[in-house]
Amino acid sequence: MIERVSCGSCHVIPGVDWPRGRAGPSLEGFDDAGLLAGALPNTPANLAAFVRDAPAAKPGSTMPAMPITAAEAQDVAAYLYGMKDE
Amino acid sequence: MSKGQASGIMEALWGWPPPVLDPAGPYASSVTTLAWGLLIMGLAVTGVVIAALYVAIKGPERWRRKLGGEKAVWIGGIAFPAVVLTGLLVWGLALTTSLTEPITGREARVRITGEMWWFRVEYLDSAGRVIVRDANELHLPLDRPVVLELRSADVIHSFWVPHLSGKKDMVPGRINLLRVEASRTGRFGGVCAEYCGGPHALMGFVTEVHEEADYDRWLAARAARQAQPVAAGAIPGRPGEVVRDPAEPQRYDPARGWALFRDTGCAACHRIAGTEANGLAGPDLTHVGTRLSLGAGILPNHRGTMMGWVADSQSIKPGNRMPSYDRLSAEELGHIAAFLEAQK
Repeated sequence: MIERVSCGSCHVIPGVDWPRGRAGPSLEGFDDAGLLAGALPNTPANLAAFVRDAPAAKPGSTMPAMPITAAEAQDVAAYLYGMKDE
Repeated sequence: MSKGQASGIMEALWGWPPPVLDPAGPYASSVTTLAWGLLIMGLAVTGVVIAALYVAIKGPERWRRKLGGEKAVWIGGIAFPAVVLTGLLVWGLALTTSLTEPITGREARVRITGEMWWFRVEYLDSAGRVIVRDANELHLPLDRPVVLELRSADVIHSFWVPHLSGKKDMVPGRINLLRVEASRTGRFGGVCAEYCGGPHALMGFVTEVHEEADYDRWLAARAARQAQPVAAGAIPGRPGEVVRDPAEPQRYDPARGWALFRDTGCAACHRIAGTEANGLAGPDLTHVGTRLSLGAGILPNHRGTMMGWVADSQSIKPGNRMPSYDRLSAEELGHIAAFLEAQK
């Protein structure tokens, strides 16, 4: 899913070789971050909501809503928590 | 990768069955049949040679004497290869004559120019005039031959859609013609198959095959849009179903995006038909809102990738000729993306 919508266009994500965009923040070490986008508690439900429709979850967010379903957003959140940084 | 919205390059090279063995047109199907035929013959001959070798080393005395005799050399060494190779040659030539089927001049023509590192695509009318300018995707009618006029603007590139045909080089100063025909609708990835420097590996495109009537409608609609002047002061394009932000419905404004598009200098390299944006150095953006990919067949096309590409295309496709617009604010990127999405 991360490859299909190409989150990597803006984010460096462990496990994604290309693209490694720099327009948005790197997601390395993301599971240990305290707050999502500096605003929301870093919980699975918040993360899934945020990756699907960031401006609704955090008004003013630069990150646009993504063309994915709620279930797919949960998969993306699971990946972001599950990745191990090399 | 699925649904053609993702990567043209991945779709050209990856998947099951492998695209080179999954023909979607007569040209590719002759090549695939020939490849299978030659592979099977090659395996059969290798099997015969291995069997003979086994007999020569471990076989019974009587067989070995036969194998070492002059007759075996005449039959196995001269007659058999002569017959088999001549047969294969005749069959191969007969099968591949269809690849060089003469161009009648009545086929629709599309001019595709290899550029560093994208494909310029121009649809021509029967008089050879450009009626639609596009980039990085090729639309084809089902079961109707189309002649591609392959050119290069700089270095040698090579045009390859594995589902449809073999590779054909795009050579500076030459026009190579390639006749393609698709026998199945769908989206097929394509790549540049000749190293052309820098981000060559990120130079791809998407081919979409439509039912004949759909194709005619599609081309007529595009030609009409391209011929249409945009009134001074009007915003080109028509807002479609853009991804709206429920919290701030009017947050991104295509009109502001258009102003930024002109002021930031996008229009110096990118054309939008009927407006003062008439740069021809980069891909034509008249229909970018419906483009099947971004960055020449490498990214899906949605708000996120559009913003990411404009903000920092150099981190996605290093060395490409579009600078990163990292001096634009997030708001400004959003306005530009909203404007570009409306270009259909």
